[in-house]
Amino acid sequence: MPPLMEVRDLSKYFKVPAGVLHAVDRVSFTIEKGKTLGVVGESGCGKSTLGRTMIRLQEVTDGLILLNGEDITHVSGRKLREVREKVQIVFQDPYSSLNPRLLIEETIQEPLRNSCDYSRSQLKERASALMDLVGIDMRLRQSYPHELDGGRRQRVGIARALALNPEFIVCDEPVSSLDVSIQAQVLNLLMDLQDQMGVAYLFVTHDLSVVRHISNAICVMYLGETVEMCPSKELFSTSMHPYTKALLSAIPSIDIDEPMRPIPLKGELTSPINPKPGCRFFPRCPYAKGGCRQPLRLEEVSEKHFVACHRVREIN
Amino acid sequence: MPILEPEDQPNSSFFGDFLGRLGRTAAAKIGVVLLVFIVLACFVGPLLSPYEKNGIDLTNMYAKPSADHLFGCDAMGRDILTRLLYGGQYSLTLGLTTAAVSSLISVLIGCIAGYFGGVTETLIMRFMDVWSALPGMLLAIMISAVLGAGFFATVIALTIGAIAGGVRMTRGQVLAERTKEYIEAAESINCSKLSIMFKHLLPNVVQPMIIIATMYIGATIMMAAGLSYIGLGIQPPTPEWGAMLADGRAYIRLYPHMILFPGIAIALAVLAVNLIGDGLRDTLDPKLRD
Amino acid sequence: MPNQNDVSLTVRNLNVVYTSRKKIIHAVNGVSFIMKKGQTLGLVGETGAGKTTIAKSILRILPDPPAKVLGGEIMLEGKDLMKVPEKEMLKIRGEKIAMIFQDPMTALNPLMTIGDQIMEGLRLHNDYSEAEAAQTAKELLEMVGIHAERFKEYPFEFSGGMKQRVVIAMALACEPELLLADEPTTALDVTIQAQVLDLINKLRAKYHTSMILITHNLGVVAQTCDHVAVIYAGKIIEYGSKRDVFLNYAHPYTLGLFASLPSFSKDAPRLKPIQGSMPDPTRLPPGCTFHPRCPHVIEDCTKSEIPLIEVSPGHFCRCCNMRQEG
Repeated sequence: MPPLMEVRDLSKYFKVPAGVLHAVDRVSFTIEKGKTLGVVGESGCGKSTLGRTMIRLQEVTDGLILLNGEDITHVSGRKLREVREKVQIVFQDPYSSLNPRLLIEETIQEPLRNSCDYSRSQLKERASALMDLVGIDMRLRQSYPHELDGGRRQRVGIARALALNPEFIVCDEPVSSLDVSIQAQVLNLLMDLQDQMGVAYLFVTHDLSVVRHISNAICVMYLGETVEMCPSKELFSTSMHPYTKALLSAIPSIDIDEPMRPIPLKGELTSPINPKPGCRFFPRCPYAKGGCRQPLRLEEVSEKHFVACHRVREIN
Repeated sequence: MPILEPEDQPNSSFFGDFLGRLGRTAAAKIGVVLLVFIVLACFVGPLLSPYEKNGIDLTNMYAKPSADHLFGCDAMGRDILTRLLYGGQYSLTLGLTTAAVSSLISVLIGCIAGYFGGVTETLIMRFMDVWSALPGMLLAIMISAVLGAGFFATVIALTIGAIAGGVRMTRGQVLAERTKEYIEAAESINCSKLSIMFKHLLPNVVQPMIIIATMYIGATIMMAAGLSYIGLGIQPPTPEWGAMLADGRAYIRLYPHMILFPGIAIALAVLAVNLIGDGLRDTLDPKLRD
Repeated sequence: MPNQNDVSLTVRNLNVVYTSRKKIIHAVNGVSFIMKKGQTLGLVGETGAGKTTIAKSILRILPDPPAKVLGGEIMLEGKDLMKVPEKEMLKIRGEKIAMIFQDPMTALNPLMTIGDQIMEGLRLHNDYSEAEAAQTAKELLEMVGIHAERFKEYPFEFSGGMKQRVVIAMALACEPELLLADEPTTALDVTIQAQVLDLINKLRAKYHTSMILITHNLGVVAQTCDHVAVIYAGKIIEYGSKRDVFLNYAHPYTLGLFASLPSFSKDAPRLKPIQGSMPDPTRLPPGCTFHPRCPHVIEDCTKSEIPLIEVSPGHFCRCCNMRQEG
């Protein structure tokens, strides 16, 4: 039984005046039906590009994407339209991800309009059912996006993504723009929907506490590459990559008796344009040594726990 | 599911929004009132006038303003007020038609250029660059000279001159809007390229164009007047404000009323339209919005 | 009664509204607090709670219109900042009170070198010659961890985190008594945030500056502030030392905030969000503004204004139905 989603050595490069920008470089993982893979990293790590490339909103430069075992990397035309019905996306910014000129009901009906010939009443019914599912009150259904707050707008975005009954949804920082109390509401909604509909998620975020809650496994990215990947709980109890350790140590904890001790990182993020071979974290790593410049691959260091670091065994 | 508390909020559609904006600034309100007055005067007024559009009355040649002829008479004894009102019909219709047609064409071409990008965009924009190298008035004169005189020829001449600027502006708007996430979303839900352009992009980039179009009405009225002044555009005996100005040109010292009133009419119409455009533009400024 | 020499700022009953298209947005509704010298106060709340408005009112940089200060006093060194003439405010801004804003990308003038921008503030408030100002500016840059040679560079050559350091250097250039930091690290990556918070803490300790830190991130508050004020719909609904508010919170909203945070250690299947959403600031509910969302609401909550009640010395809560934790 093939996994729902699989990517093998997926790469996405952009040509820029200064050279070639390696946004995503040789990323591989699988996602099973109904499960969530969290992707974390800071700005510039390529996590958003990864999400968009997986659902073909961006063209793939190299590598493979397999949906239910079928190669969808370069499909186009009718086949692409079929694929799109199975893989959807929820965007980060609730303010720019909805067309300001359409009623939210129309926004939700649109994917249905594009796929089949539904009658007007069928469209209305489907949209109503979806809005029920995501918790949008009856009275708000004929509103414009600007009349709703961020949390409700995000629910509209989720309803739109669910309209075609997809098997897989890329959630691109869906709660980062929301207030803390609303974040919890939307996260709960996403988890409830996963239980009810069996949809799998790629959950992209920079917030490690959120990702732990919603993911089965987590992939940590740095400058386009995967540096660590393992089941969620393990990331927090036994992280092995120096970057992951630094990331975890930098999170301000609400435990007032435990002052945080962030692991200091030298310098600034290096450029993803024409990157040098070897470990990309090398210039900033507190454990860096000469040998780190050798080409690097993800290794399975313990069961289901993958790390891309030459010195992983020495450090841990 | 948590129960959400909705507020009763009024719907705000595209036109509702537009009309609301008009009512918000003093400038726009004055402009609207003035324009409505001019339009009513020009379309209803002539019905009330005892005189005819081209009623020649050689006994009243060059008559100064009096109780009988409120604005006086022209070289052929025709009542200037009546001709002014009829002429207004032409000028206003000309202005509106030109602005509407040129905006429509500009927005379409601008959207295509901005959305499709690549070679299409380059071709269109370079073509527009060449086009806009020619001054609008000169272009209008050239085309008028080729197509001849008359209402439709003038509309075509003036429309063609306006397109390049509108295309550039729309394309700029499209470039900015194209990167917004709702456009990506539309792609992800299988919207066709045409549907994205017309349903998503166009309605969201058209607002600045409306303002420019409104201002262009004023510019058109002036250009039409200019064309008539030099003998192109609308031909006599059809009353047209510019032609009336031209007629009075030679008599500016002796019978200033022949130039004065057409001049004021042009000025008022252009003022009204510019005030409306100004008001609309002010309300589009997000900092002035609430 | 705190010794007057200890107090650097007193805010009393601040009321600010925004008027728009005949609607009135009640942004700040009777906020009072006292800042002691060297103290850090965390103003915690969600979007629209009124935190930024409070900070901008202190500096009198609210755009008027649409903002209007309806009432209240802000006492600094015996003078009411609401009443001093603008000329005097010019001397206070930057010199006595400085502010750091949220978005480092737009906080710096892209057309001036960062050296010039730091010097601008220095020379406005001190009688420095150009050379003296340049020297001081270079020292400030080194202090915030930027090489002095970058003095002549432009903002676009710096990353977000570095820009924020420059902004901090500018703010502390004239050694102000009070620093207002409005979500200074929200736009930064977590690892950079840790560095910037560390920098802020070190500099504060060095200059003994009081600080009001505005944020919605409880973790940031825990790591940098000694006192906390929780703001909801323009009112302080809980106030106390960090220990009081984090460990002995009394207000149901504060409880809700902590409960809705996903954490690293707890493995609950679902989070516990606060029901509903923030009230419409043009139509605030009567009585306690939180009552429509409160799980412990009783009839008294809807009747009249709830005052701040002292739960324990120095710990205040605006609730008439507090659950007293044992």
